[in-house]
Amino acid sequence: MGKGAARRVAAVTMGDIGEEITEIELEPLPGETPAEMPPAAPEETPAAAPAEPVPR
Amino acid sequence: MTAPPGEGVPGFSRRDLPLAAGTVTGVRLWRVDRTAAEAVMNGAPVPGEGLLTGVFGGVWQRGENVAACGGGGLGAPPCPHDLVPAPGCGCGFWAYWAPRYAWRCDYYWRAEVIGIVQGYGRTRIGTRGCRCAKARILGLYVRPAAPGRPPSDGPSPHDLTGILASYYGVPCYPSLAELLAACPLTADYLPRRQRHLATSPALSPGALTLPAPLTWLRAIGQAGQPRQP
Repeated sequence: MGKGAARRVAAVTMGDIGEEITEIELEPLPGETPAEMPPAAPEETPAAAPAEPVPR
Repeated sequence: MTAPPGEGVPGFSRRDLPLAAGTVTGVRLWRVDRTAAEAVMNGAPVPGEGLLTGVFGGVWQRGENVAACGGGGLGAPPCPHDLVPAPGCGCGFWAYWAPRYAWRCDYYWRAEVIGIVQGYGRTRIGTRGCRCAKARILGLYVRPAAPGRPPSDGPSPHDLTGILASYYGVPCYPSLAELLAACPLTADYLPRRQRHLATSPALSPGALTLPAPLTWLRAIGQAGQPRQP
């Protein structure tokens, strides 16, 4: 691995959304989010609310 | 102790944010839980909660995903539910305004799947991307296997395309360009001179172009001017 590539890996190891501009509450417009899709198979659809406890 | 005025009243609490109608769309990458994908391919129940995972964990499910905080690391307590994504924490669903910005994170270089998500709810907006409390996948693209890399076990990229499209109920496009064309990214928050990146399927900046040696020498006054025609 070249020196430049190694430096790039070391410099960015987490997500980076850049300089924060604002924090808002977004409410989808009616019809903007697709209707809830039917499950692919009954046993494949978890009942619990999804969550992402840590970034990515 | 007296609660601040408006605390606990929807719309008047200090925790409430300016409300805007709409959503944002950003691009991000995932790794595939190959064990779960193989189970789907074989007609077996999915062992986990989904097929697409973040590098630090977090499984994406069909339809709406709602973020919860697992703690800020080093034993920090989780953020209150109504503050996710909190400023000092990494919680929430992350997405970017351009593929290039998603790709610059080193751990993404190993990700097999690129997708576009719709984000809403409490949202932190930055110049490169956003973190949202709620998100859903709009479309996906499975990257081809890297040339020279030995084939991995489990489903091929072609198989994954079908498996993911079926499981998540979203289109899986044959190229990143087609994904971006079908699901345009939010470009409003990108600096004006970088808005073209939102439609560019390039994952990394182009090769560096250095000036030719002669031009370089002329620039520092060590060579003559070019001959006029």
